[in-house]
Amino acid sequence: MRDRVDVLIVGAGASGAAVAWRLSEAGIGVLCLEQGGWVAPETYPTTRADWELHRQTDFHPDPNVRGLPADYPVNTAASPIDPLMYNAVGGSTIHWSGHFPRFRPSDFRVRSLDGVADDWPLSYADLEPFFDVNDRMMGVAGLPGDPAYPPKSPRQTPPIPIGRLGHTIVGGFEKLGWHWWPSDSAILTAPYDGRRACNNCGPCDVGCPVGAKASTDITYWPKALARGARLETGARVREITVSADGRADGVVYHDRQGRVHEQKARIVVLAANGVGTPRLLLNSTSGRFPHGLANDTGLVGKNLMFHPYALARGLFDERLEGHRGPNGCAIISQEFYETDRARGFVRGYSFQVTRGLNPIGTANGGLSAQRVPWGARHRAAYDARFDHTITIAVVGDDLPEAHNRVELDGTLTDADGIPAPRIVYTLSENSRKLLDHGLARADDVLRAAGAREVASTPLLRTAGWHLMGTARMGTDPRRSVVDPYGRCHDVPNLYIVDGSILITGGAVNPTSTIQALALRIADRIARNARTL
Amino acid sequence: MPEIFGPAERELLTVVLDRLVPAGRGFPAAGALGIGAYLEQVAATTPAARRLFVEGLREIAMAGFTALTGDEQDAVLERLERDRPAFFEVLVRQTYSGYYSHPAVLALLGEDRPPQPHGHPLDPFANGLVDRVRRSPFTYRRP
Repeated sequence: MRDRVDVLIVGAGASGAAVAWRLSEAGIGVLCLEQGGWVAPETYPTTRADWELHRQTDFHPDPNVRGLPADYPVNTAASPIDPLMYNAVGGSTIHWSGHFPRFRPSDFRVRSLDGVADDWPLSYADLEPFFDVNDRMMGVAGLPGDPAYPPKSPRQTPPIPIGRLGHTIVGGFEKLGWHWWPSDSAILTAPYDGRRACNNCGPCDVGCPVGAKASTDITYWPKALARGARLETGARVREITVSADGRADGVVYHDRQGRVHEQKARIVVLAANGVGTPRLLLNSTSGRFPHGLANDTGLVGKNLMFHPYALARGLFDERLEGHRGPNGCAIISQEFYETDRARGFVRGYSFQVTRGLNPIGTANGGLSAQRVPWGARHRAAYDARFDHTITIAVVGDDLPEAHNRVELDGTLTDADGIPAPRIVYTLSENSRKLLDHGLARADDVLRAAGAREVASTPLLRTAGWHLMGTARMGTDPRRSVVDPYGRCHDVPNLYIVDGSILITGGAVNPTSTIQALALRIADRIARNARTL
Repeated sequence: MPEIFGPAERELLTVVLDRLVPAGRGFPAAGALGIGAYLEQVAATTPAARRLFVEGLREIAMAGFTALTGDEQDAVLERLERDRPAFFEVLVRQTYSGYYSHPAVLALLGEDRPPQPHGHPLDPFANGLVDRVRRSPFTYRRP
């Protein structure tokens, strides 16, 4: 067994990497255990002719489809949305599309403003310095001056180009007089920090061999390792162990051969995402914590939020060159972000205008799964769609509901025999109304832009990119799992820094906000290092 | 490559694929293009996939598929789509996947170059496009 380490981090993804960097900068000893491995950028499939097949198999975002040795299965039978993740150094930033919006000021005050869920114990202003540090570390393409946000610090590179597809949909937004803006994206449009600029190849979601898209294996990790942080891959944590006084004192983990190891630590930090973290806590039972670690309230795993997604796809006569440019992002609209009770629901949504579908995606419908008909009608239907569609994703705010949850499955386990998570999620009435409103407005803007036909997908199944809320933050130990600095109320040297601690979901991609929170927590740990 | 299908099944599959994606507008039919070999690879991935394909093809064969007219073949496939949706969805989706990743089809679509290493040229974002929005008042609520 290795010597006891100062800080042990579980998970090397978006938040774990940020914490490892901040703590190692402060001279604190860090060991991170990651169940996946390093993914060599040259193995990303985009240089190969059959690259799109990999998106459906070994590079699929759903671990149940991918089934790689680093993955663990997830029982999703009781959820209309499948959780997506990637297990590797860099975590799901290997796979993400680089959307980098921040939560908006109102997202931290939903109880005061809208009478729902809970206010956060911190504000946008509290997080702003950490947003800025994180932006510099990840590298953000964007344009200052968006009236949907308080003024932001300069973006690291100019906005991503929007192409013909973007210009077409902008025509619709301009006609209606609605808000839109080029998406803040963690994708470089110019060289920055030793990394190269994006060459607009398209499919960010199967990995960026250029290194323009920020994934933490190429942003935070090289810097953290240079400062002495240690990272062990192929290390799947089975449970967090506790000492007689009820403090976390280390972990038990399996290596790639399944051998069991123990590692002691003064502080344990969980960065295993909104599904992996509650799974690990629930699997860590002891005499002191019979219902799982830090779970005296029974709140661990509860209040799962995903961001329900709906899609509207407009069909246009002209070719849109939609395969050019980062596929997840072109522009964002927050016209319907804030609450307007006249709409019949609270909170709101963002529109994300994504790029076009590739050849297989066109045939099989992409995420919407609405495939082109087979038979005599196939050729004409395919040709009418290929490079003739604009897809708008409606990203709904997600509010915490205790019955939406991650629990342990009674029988399903991973390859090491560790109980697997089971997801239970029901779409709320508020979310349904919100998405329906969004689909109707998306229809408006697509038609205003010239679409001759609009098809919609009311709820996307392969859309659980955002795993949030399952170990919520708060000041009241009876109503939350961690305090405002990510420290478990029940276990004073156990911290959680991933999406689990989010109190509400906002209506934007959460990575930027999760990482800013993680940096804020790491800052606190570093400041108190002497009392470790 | 493991052999999953016999000669009769391969021949049948070719005829089926030609009905699913017929030739037209200069594009080849899926069966004639050899997409059956791709499906055989898919069927070989797991025992469950193998069973799905073997049983599905057996059912099509029992309808005397190859001796039917085109319209009658379509009717058999429509019935299969209704009665054996699990098999039929896999059959169609995998046929599309094989077909639309085939070099000959990608060339016809003008997509014969993989995304990397060349990428695509795109004009930089023209900042003036946002002038109207930029002039509008702040839209976020100040809590």
